[in-house]
Amino acid sequence: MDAQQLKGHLDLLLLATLDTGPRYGGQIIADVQASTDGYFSMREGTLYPALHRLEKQGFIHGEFQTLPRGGSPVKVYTLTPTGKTELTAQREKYDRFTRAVRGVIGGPA
Amino acid sequence: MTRDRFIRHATRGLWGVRKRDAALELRGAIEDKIYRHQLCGLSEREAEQAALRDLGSPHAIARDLNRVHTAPAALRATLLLGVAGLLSMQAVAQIPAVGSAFMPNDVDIQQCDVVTGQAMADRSPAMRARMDRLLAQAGGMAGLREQCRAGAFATLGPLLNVADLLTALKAAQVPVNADASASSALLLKGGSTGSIPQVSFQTQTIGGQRYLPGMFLITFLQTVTTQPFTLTGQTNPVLTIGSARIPIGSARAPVQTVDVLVRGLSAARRTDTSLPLPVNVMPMTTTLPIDPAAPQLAVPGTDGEVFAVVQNILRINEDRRDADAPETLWVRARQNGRIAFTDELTPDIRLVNSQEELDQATARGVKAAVVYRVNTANLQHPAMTPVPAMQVRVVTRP
Repeated sequence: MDAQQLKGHLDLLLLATLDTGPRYGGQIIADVQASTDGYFSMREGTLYPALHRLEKQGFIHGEFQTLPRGGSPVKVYTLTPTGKTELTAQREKYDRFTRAVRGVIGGPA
Repeated sequence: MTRDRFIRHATRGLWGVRKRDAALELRGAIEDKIYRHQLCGLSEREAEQAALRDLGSPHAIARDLNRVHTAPAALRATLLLGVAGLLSMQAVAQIPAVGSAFMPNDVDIQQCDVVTGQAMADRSPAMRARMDRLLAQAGGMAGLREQCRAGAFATLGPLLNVADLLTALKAAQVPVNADASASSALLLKGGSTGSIPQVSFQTQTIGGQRYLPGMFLITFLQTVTTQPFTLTGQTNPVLTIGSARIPIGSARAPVQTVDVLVRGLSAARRTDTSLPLPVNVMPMTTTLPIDPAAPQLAVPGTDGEVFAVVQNILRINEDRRDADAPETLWVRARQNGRIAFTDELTPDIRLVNSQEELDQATARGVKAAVVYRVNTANLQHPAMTPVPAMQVRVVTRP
């Protein structure tokens, strides 16, 4: 998947991943990769600025937590109530978009 | 590229709590990746290289993080003026002192007898000679025991009363969302904007009250607020934060400012890559008795000025260069033109100009030290400036 395509849907992917439970960066990447059979492969370099932006917008909230293996803490992100509302709005927007594109290119709706 | 350098590049342009948080998050992410790669059979070095490759360009990360976090230049200038205003504010509010205590074990009479007795039982002639000098300085064994009972060798150092600290910060209008209900930890629950990480600090119970080791003071304050703050005075310092002045410590368990600083600096280095310190450095507090015959450093400036020394003597002595034995960090206020920087008698120590030169000396097995001036004006961002080696001199004592 090319970077531009990923960029356009990054917020939706991140919010949807966090909708299933709190995650830190490494887990988010692994989850997105696993649930799309490797179609989306993102780098932390893309991920962290996006997470910080969503946090600044109040959609997610990050807290540092130390893992059982020890070492430096990781920042675990949780979806906020505002983020949940935003996720619903973005899902609807995405559905409208895909229906409109299907209307032009044909194939199953 | 090392992970420190990567983090330094990736957080360039950020400042304050944003920079610290981003650096901490990246460090956690890199360590997590290294751990995963090692599980797949890579060596530590290979795993680190692979982890940094996975993260992509640090410059691109810095560019994108700056887009998210950096306020417009005009706003930044206003904030900086605000900082200057806060620090120069003269009309300050006095707040009741934060009490302090030692761990009962650290100053227990029987425990002190064990500590001092063990030292006497050492049979190495060099150690006995050292002990004789310490005894002569302390006024004999009775004097040494008295020093021990007064907390001079307290392992944890003085601890600060948590209730006093939280009350003082509230009076100083520094909001702290803390939960002190757990029996052994003070949990910071984070700020409403998520800008404060949720972390906990280990506490101790003394006489039914909760105490926070004084060594955590700077890290604690850096965690709960982005406001500038400073400590003034050498013993039981005054904490100035905003317009408030908070006396720290008590006569029964005096707080030495340099001991709070040395712990604050070594902890700050974990996330502030601008500090010229090794990531792993062993803080040497004043609670370690120093051989009265050990050499000192004659430093420029005036008495009372705070200096820091990083030296590699332990590393060289232990001959554990391969095992990455830490350098030691000494923070001391200049007294009679001098500062302590070692407990060892050897005067054969090379003075160098930077951490890089110290690393080179270590690689060659040469004992060396680098000296810094510590700027304590704003401990939210402590700064260290190297003192040129030619301005410093090793002074041996009889």
